[in-house]
Amino acid sequence: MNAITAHLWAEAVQDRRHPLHLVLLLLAPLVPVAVHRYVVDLVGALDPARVGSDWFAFGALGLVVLTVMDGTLRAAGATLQRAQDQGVLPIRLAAPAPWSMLPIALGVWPAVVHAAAAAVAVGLAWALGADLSVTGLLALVGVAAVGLVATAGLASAAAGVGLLARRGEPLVRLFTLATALLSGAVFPIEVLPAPLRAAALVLPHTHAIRLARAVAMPVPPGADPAATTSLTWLVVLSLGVLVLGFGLLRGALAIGRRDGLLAAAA
Amino acid sequence: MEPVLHVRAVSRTYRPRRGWLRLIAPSAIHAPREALVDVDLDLRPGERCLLLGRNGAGKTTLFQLVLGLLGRDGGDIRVGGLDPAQDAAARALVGWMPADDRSLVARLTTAENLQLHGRLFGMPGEDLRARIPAVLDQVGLTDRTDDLVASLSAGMRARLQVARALLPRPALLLLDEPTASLDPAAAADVLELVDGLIAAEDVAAVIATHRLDEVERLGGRVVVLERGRVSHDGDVAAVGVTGLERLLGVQAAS
Repeated sequence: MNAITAHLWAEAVQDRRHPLHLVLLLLAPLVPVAVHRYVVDLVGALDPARVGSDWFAFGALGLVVLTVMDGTLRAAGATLQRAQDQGVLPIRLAAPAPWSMLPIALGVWPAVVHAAAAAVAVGLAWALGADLSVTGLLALVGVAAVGLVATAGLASAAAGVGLLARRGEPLVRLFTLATALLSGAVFPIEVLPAPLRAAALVLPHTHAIRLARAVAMPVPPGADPAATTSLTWLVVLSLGVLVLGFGLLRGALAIGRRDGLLAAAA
Repeated sequence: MEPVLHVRAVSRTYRPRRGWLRLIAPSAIHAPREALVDVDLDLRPGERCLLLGRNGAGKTTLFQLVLGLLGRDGGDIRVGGLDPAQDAAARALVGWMPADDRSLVARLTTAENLQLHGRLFGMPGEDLRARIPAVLDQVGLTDRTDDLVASLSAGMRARLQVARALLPRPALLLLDEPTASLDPAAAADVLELVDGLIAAEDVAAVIATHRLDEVERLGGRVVVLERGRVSHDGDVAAVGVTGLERLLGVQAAS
């Protein structure tokens, strides 16, 4: 817990010193939401069975969930990479906090910032006419919280690879590109070829997005499973990813200690 | 009195990466290299020891083993009775000053760097609020409390690193070439400061250095590492600077 509060505080202090950077982080998710608005206007109405009552709300919710889950993952990965590159990592590991908590500790502030950015994006979607349920929007906080459990697992796995390879960012970038395609953020995954659809269903993101639509759209896509089904899959997959991520990180830390990689920058 | 640091028959060899690990990242070395061989070192509370050796002699490797950042091939290490490779609590007993100053966060102020470190060590807020001005005063950085680290000189950063190492009141201080990046005048200042603080805080300390003039200035117990082996452990006065030069192979080299 000390590591989490300490890094949360330190990252917040550094970002507060660069307010423009913080503002840009908050504004960045607005662009894809606005782009989606105009694509929807161009294409027109789609089958409600596939996209629910409003394709714009359908896509905006997908983009908002990706902002929280993948935005946090990218930012946490970048923070860890910076710690490695700048030589700060060994002194962090010399503190008595458990090493396996470091990626999560470094990811808490990015999670706060991206959750705030997601809230701003929801506000824009609403302003641009998205058909969203007010009570359902509150439930999105819970969806984001469970989704971030999966993100913590993915960040731990990426940190493990980063420790061994000294470069974890390309993996994170590749993964977030894949989730942008497979999670069905702006289109239903039913349009994907069967193998990709199968891959989409093992991503926690897919179920987080489906759950977000089930709770925040007055008429969710008819083809989507019930909210309880999506929630069950999201919880199971998130916990699975967390366990796998921790396992991979612990293995990487053991190899790193054996091979002298943890202290390489010292 | 129980030693605060107990190092017995410790060995460590760096080996090239093998198998699938080489696919992830190339190995930095291509043949096994013995970094430490059967090293013994005991340090009692309040005792100060200089660790002398040329570059690559194994000084930093020994520190990393004591911190648990590196695995040992054989032997035993205890810090306050705890094995740092097994027990994270051992790290709470060690104040470490790495060999370079990159471990400071340039975008935080002097006080904020200390606050981050203290929080990571689990120091309570009230204790931190009292301790930070005290250690900054000890190292003469009170007037730079709210300055960003990026604006500090190399000498000031060295002082800040000393303050950071002392902040959580460690039982053991590991200072890895604390004057390496400093000019002679600043190096002398920092060395004098460090020696005074070690005595004032009554902490056991190992100061790694490759400079004979520093060993001569500080005196006391010196452990000489030569290609990973302890070639001398005793008082500087017992062998004299000429003897240390011989042990380091300085005369042979010149």
